[in-house]
Amino acid sequence: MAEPVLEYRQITKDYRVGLRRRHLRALGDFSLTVNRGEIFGFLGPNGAGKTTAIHLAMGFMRPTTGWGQILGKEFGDAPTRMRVGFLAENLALHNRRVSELIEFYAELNNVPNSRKAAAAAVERLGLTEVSNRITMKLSRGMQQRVGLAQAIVNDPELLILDEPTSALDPVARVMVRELLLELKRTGKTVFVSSHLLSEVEAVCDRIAILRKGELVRVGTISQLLEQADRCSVVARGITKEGFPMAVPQNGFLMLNVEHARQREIIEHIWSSGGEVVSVNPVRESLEEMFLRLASSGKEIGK
Amino acid sequence: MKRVFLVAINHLRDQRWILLTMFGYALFMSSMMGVVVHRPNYQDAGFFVEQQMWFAVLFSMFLATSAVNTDMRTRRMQAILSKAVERWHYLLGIFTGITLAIASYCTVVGLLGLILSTRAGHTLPGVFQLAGSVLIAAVAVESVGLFFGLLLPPIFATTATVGFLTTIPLLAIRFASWLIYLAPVALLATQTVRQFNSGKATLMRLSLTATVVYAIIVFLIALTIFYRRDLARPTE
Repeated sequence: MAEPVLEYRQITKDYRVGLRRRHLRALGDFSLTVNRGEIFGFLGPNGAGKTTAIHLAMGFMRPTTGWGQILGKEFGDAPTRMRVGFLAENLALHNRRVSELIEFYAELNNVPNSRKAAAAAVERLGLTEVSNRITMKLSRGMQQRVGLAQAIVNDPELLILDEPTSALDPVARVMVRELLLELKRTGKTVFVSSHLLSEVEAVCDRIAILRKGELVRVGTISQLLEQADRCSVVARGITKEGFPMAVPQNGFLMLNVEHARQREIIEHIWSSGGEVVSVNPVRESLEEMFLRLASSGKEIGK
Repeated sequence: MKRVFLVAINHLRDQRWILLTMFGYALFMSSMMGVVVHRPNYQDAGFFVEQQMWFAVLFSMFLATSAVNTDMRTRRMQAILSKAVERWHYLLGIFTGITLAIASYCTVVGLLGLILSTRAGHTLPGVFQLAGSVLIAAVAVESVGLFFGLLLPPIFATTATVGFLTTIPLLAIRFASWLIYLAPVALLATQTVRQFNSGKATLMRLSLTATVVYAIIVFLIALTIFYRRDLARPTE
């Protein structure tokens, strides 16, 4: 049975913003479970509440209602964070030499032989050449790598990454992707929020899509992409006149129909003397699904 | 306590330019005193060291009111608190870092005062008692600064700190002198000045104790607030 390492249970988070202390709901009745050993993608448009959910898990803020656990302990438990790696969105680093900075973070986490651990993290992220340089003088992409190095320096069981590849060039992105897959192979869990759908699609076992503080979809990528409420019916022996919405495809006609009308269409094909070749759920791209969910009303729960 | 110390040293390193300015200012002023006034007299040296020493209180206020807010705004706080660092480790670390900086400043100014007074003829008595008292006053001001710095942006926090610390003493001057006993920092300041200049402070021990207790209480209140508040801001 899957062991949960990160659990949100009916969490609501309200902010008070502005001089008039206006009420802003960042998360509403949010429940989600991330299991050990998976790479979990957390998607949503800007302002959906992804960063709030991550900050709650790290204990930077407390839920208004509901509760959550990280590695079996309530959110905010400091000793538990020794087993967690975290990379913030728009990370601001202390102005130090790269190796010193990573060592500092390792010491905060009580990592034994912190200097050696820091050197290993620096090497793993391809930062050896710049390890004596000041972080502020590095490019944004290099700084992001430093951020990743500090996140993995304690060999975490759970890695929480908020937009880890946003400032990276394609080569560095591939490196991060390989790092995530390598972590997965060693049994680590990765919870990653990203806008880069191709990255998510390439590495994640499961994804959740958040919109305006509510979870609209969660599941494996293939489940989600096939969950669309449309299917394609491929038929032969019919003409386009009888089926104006049909599209010719490889000598057949293909009809993209709603699930609710599937039976009706198939019967219509048969009654017209045609033959149904195949019926398949329509497979959207992740981007299509994301855009549809981001712009539409609430969809299916979980 | 290792984490408190790490956070403290880290904070000192983050503030290095401000600290260098502080120390540079003290060195510049004392060298001006030594060069322009070729042979400073004893009273000038005393006035100089006292004046420079009290700047420590201002420095501690400016450092404290901006510390947490800046770390939160730049998200550096998140990088620290994402490790196995309790919130009290962090706040006590910041507090310790500022205190170390102010203690160093008071020591440097004390030493410079001694050098100047020696050049003037004989060594000033009570320079390090002055430094100790000013340090305690600065630590109390630092607590108040941290408290307001948790609630307000730096400029408002500084204004609030000044207002909070000066209102009662001003009322004491204007209306009833006994009110000064409700303002331990001001009481300590008056006693320290009296002690340094005439050696006739009668409430020195009381004012020192009251200021230490005051600093601890205000720090604990600040810590309670820090434990309860959200340490990240809404992004939208």
